Order: sequence, then C-alpha cells, then structure tokens
Amino acid sequence: MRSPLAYLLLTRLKNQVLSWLKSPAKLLYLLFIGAMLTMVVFSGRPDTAMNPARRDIRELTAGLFALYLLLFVLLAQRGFGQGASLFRLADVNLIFAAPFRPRSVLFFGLIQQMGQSLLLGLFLLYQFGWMRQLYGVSLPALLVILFGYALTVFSAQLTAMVLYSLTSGNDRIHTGLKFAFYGLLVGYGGYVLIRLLADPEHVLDVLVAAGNSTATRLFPVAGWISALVAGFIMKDRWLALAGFAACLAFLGLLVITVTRVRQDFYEDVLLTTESNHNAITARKEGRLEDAAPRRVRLGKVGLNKGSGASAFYFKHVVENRRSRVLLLSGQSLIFIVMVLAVSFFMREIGLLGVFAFSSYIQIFSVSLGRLNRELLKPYIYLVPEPPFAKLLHSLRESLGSFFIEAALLFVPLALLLRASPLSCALCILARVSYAYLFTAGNLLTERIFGAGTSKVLIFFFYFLLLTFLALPGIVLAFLAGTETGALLALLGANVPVALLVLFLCRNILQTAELNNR
Amino acid sequence: MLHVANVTKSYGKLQANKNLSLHVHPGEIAVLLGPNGAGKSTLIKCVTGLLRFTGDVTIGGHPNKTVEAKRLLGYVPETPALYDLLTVSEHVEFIRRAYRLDDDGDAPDLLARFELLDKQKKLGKELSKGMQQKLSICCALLHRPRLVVFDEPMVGLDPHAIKELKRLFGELRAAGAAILISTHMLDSVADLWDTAHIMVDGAIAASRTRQEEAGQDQSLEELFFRITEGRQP
Repeated sequence: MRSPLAYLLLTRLKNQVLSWLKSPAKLLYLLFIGAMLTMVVFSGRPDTAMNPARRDIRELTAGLFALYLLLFVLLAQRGFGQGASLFRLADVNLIFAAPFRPRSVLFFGLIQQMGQSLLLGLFLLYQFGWMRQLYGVSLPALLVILFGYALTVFSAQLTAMVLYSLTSGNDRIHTGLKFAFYGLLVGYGGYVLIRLLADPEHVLDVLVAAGNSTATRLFPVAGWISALVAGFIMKDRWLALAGFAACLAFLGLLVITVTRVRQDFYEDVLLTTESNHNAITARKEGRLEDAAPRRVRLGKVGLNKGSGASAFYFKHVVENRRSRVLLLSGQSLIFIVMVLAVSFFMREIGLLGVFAFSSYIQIFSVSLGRLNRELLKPYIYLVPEPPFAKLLHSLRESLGSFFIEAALLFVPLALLLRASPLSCALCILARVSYAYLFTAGNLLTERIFGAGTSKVLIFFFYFLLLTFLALPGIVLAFLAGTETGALLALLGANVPVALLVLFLCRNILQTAELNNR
Repeated sequence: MLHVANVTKSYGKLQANKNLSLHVHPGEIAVLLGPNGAGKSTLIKCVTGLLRFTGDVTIGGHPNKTVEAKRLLGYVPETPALYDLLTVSEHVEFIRRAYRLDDDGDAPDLLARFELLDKQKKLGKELSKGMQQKLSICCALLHRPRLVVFDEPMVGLDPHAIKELKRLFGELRAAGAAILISTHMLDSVADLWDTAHIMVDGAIAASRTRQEEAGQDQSLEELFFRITEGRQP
C-alpha cells in the first residue's frame, strides 16, 4: 500500500491540475503564461557565433551571488524571530496529530517545499532575453540559474526552521547564533569595502571581482550555490561540483540537526504555519494587511482636520505617516532600491530604457496604493458623501508620495546617467503621470470586472488594460525621436488618458462591489 | 424605514438572492434567519449598498445608494473591517468627521458600554477580534442611524458585550430605529425579534411576526427546523 503522505502529495498535485482544467480563466491564464514563456525562450535565438556576448559573464555570476545572498539572508533570518515553516495549517491539523514518525513528516514537508521553491523562481525564465543578449546565456544555463534560486529558497527555509528550533527558549544560543549569522555578513561586507577602498575609481570592476573571488565562493550557502551556477555557466566542472557538494553537505547537516537534535519540531513550526495561513486567508478574501512596520510609532494622535469626504484624505495622512520608513513606506523604498540597483547594471541602455523598466516595476507598487485598501472596507461606500468627492479625496494623498518616490528614484539616476536637469524633471513628471494612469487602470478594472469572482481573470485583464491605456503614450514616445520629446509625449498622453478614465469612473463607489473577492 | 422589493442578486449562474421582498418599520426588530449559505449576508450587503443587484431597496424613502439614505444607515459587518493604523479614538473621530457630526455623537457612551474607554490609544491592528467587533459596533452607531443593519453581530463577542448589545437593541427600538439582524444562531435573538424571516437557498421560505407567533402551535424554532431540514412548513 502506498504511503499516506505520498498519496497526499500526489492527490494534491492531481487535484491542482484538475482545478486548472476545470476553470477556463485559470487555463487561459496558464496558456498565456506558457505562450509568453515560450516566446521569450525560443523567439529569435541568436547564433552565438554571430552575436557574441557583449558583456563580461562574471558580472552576471557576481549579480547572481548578490541575488542569492539577499534572498538567503531575508528568508533565513526569520529563524531568529517567528521561525519558518515547511507546512500548511491543514498539515498541522491532520498530519501532526496522526500516527506518523516526525522524520517522515519532515521529509514530506521538505518535498512539498522543494516544489514551491521551484515555482517561486519561475519569473527568472522571463529574464532569458536580456541575459542571452548581454551575456550569451544558454537555455540549460538559465535552468541552472533557476535551480540555484530554488536551492537558495529551499536552504534558507530549512535554515530558518533549524535556527528557530535551536534558539527558541535559549537566549544564549540565540545570541550566539545571531552574532555568528550577522558577524559573517558584516565580515563579508568589510571584505568588499576594503577592496572598494583600494580601488575607488572602478566600482563595478571591483564588485565583479569580489563577487567572483575565492572568498565569495567559500561564503556559506549563497557562495556555494553561486559556485555551482558559475561553474556550470563558465564550464568549470570542479567549481560546480564543489559548490554542489558543499550545498548537499549543508542540507544534510540541517536535516540531521532537525531529526536527531530536535525530533519534536512540531511546536517550532506551529506559530509560523498559523500566521502564514492567516496571511493567505486574508489575501484570498481580498483583505490587504497594511504595510506597516512591526512596531508602529503612534506620534500625534488624531485626524484634526477634514469634514465629509475630505476626512478620508486626512485619515490617509495619518495612516501614511505611521506606515512609513523615513519618507515612504518600506515597500516603496524596496522598490526604489531594486530599480536603482538594476539600473546601475543596465545604465548602458540610457535614461529612457531605465525609465521603461522603472515604469514596469511601478505597476506593482501602484497597485498597493491606499485607495485599493479603501475599496476593501465598507466605509468608503457607506459615508454619505457624493461618490466622486470621496474618490478624489482618496486619490489626493498619493500625489505627494508619487512625487517623493519619483524624485528619490530619478535624481540619483540622473546623476548616474549624467542626464540633464530637464530630463530628470521630465522623468519625475512622467513617472507621476504613470502612477495616476495605473491608478486609473485599477479603477477601470474595478468598474468593469467589479462583479467578477475570478481573481486570475481580473489580474489577467488588469495587465491587458494597463497596456492598452499606456499604449498612446508609448506610440507617441516612439514617434517623438528625442529623449526630451519622448518624455513630453508620455506626459502629454498619460495625463489626459488618466483624467478621462477617472471621469468615466466617477461613480465607481456607487457601482463597486464589496464581495470579498 | 427599510423597503426591499424584488431584490435578486446573481453571481454568474448562481442566484444568491431570488426576488426577495421585506419591510422593516421604525421601532421594529426584524431578524433574518437561515443556515450557512442561505443568502443572508448577500441580502444585507445589497441593503447596505455594497453590492449591485436588481430590484429596489429604499431607506427612509430614498434609494439605498443615495447620500440621503446613507445618512440614515448604520452597518455592522460580519467581519470587523477596521483600519490597522488608526487608533480607537481616531476611528471615532474619522466617523464623526466623515458624517459631519457637530459632536462625538453617542461615542462616549458606546465606548464606555463596550469597555473601550481605556483602549483609545490602541491601533486597530492591536485589538483582539472581539474588541474589533465592539469598535465596529461603536462606529456603526455613533452617528445615531435610523436603520441599523447587523450581520452576525454576536460572533466573537464576550458575554458582557452580548448582554450590552442586546440591551442596545432594545434601546434602539424604543428610540424608533429600525433594526435588521442577520444570524444563524436562533437562540441569540429569541427574545428580541418582532418579525422573523427564514431564508433558505436565497429565498424567504417563511415570515412570522411576534403577534402571529402567539397564535401558533408551532414555535419559531420548530418552524425553522422544519423548513431548513427539508420539510414543508
């Protein structure tokens, strides 16, 4: 008889596939994703002999190390707080209480987590175009990069779980391991800094050299995984094997630690599993938790201004103040740092290319705006004020944030790319115009698909709609010819389109549905 | 005060509410009873203007989505929907300002009754679910609405708060407010209702007033189980 845990894994997988086949919306979305992926991977494959890589491949391997390191640190450090879990709440309720050996349950969780880690990295496949163009990356190399990503996520989750198991309830071990964890990071940071100070003229070259140095290859987990990937890409078999062997040994050590040292790990994963479950349930029900720091500083209490619809604006001012890290929310700052980092490597494509990339990323930050959160609560519908007034006052708060975010992004970018002050100012204005265009797209999606119950379908059409709304600006920008002309064209097209959509959606609060999508 | 006429609400092929009609008069407590999935919450959301529907809903003679109707309405949702980053006192201030009240309305009394006075500096996200429900009730009532709609109001409340809420129902009725309560817990409203509507599969299967109850040999509870367990009334 097949093991019940194997049965559970396979049945879940089978039912997942069946649910895709039964839902036309999900199937359509999957086909679209698949088609896009195929197009990205197979369209116009260059003859590598005719199109040699334009940049040093070591830049890519150094960048991959940075990505893996960031990911590993962000995920693994949760072991010092709430911990991490390889399980779902259903596993806790049905499997933990059932007569299975904890070791079997752990392996069940590990296999489950491996699949999820691989899925998380699928976005990397979409990066094939620029990786191939700039660095001549082949398809097998891309798959190894994806494998490296999944291995990082998987190792980090398991590390967090082990860290939590070892440190919970023992302050001395907690402090010691935390000191070792962050000490290693500070040590590595110091190593890179010393190399930078030795040659401050060539920042990129120094970073690339440091990212491919022996010290980096020896650096725990992220260094080993990057050695595995770099070894494969650069056809250094021994480097790849050494990296792989180090990872395997580390994972083996973690598993032994859990199964031998701390066999009763159920309690350690309980809290995280429950909070993960609550977060997933909230997302399913359309509840967005506020992106606030864990410890909110209250500051001045009270709205102190506002009457009728404008009370929403003054409420947003208070909420924004409490959710911010410095001038913007933590999420906005992460988006800015991410765009700045990527732009640093993409700077050869010029200001307009960087602007296009930042606008793409902007879609995700705008969709988390405060109006979206407001639409998920009943008050915006219940307050006895004209719907258009409530809409305008709800959009009012974002203007300041949009400008600050655009300035924080494009002033350093203009300095980096040596762009003129005029181009910088136009980029800021054009970014703000995109922010309102995307907000208008959000509203239009709500207006058209408000009654829809398929999140997948709504998400799919949301992107199509944004493309459609942005199209006039993009076409005019292409026709404009010059950088200044293109930015002016974007601005000139986006503002009227956004205003028109806002006007058309003026009664959205009369027609929207709060149906816990 | 509340007139619901021929309300139908569909989600694709599924009809959650089928041609429903009911009235709630000033000084009357009407309850919507029914098993899970009967369509009670959907009807409540149609009444409060949170969903699109076909048919007519008027509050105090005004269509329910107008500003005039909203001014008369108070709504306590099933899941408390508070703002994570506002304190208890700021929730009260926000409602006061949004509804253009000159004073704090009934806020001081409500906060005291629901034991929230010492929690005024707590953020929405710091409150327990029960406390959130209490604040949600305060927010719905502080502008002194003439129609109050409660969706499963007792869920998550402690015994003291349930007692206080029941007392409040009586006071609101005495003050001439119309009250509509949706619940699947018959016991919780047994001694409160003036009119009861039993919903099954999106339709009202039976309605009964307190006066009619007196002359019946079958109690509301018996009627409820006969209907919901598949037998004809």
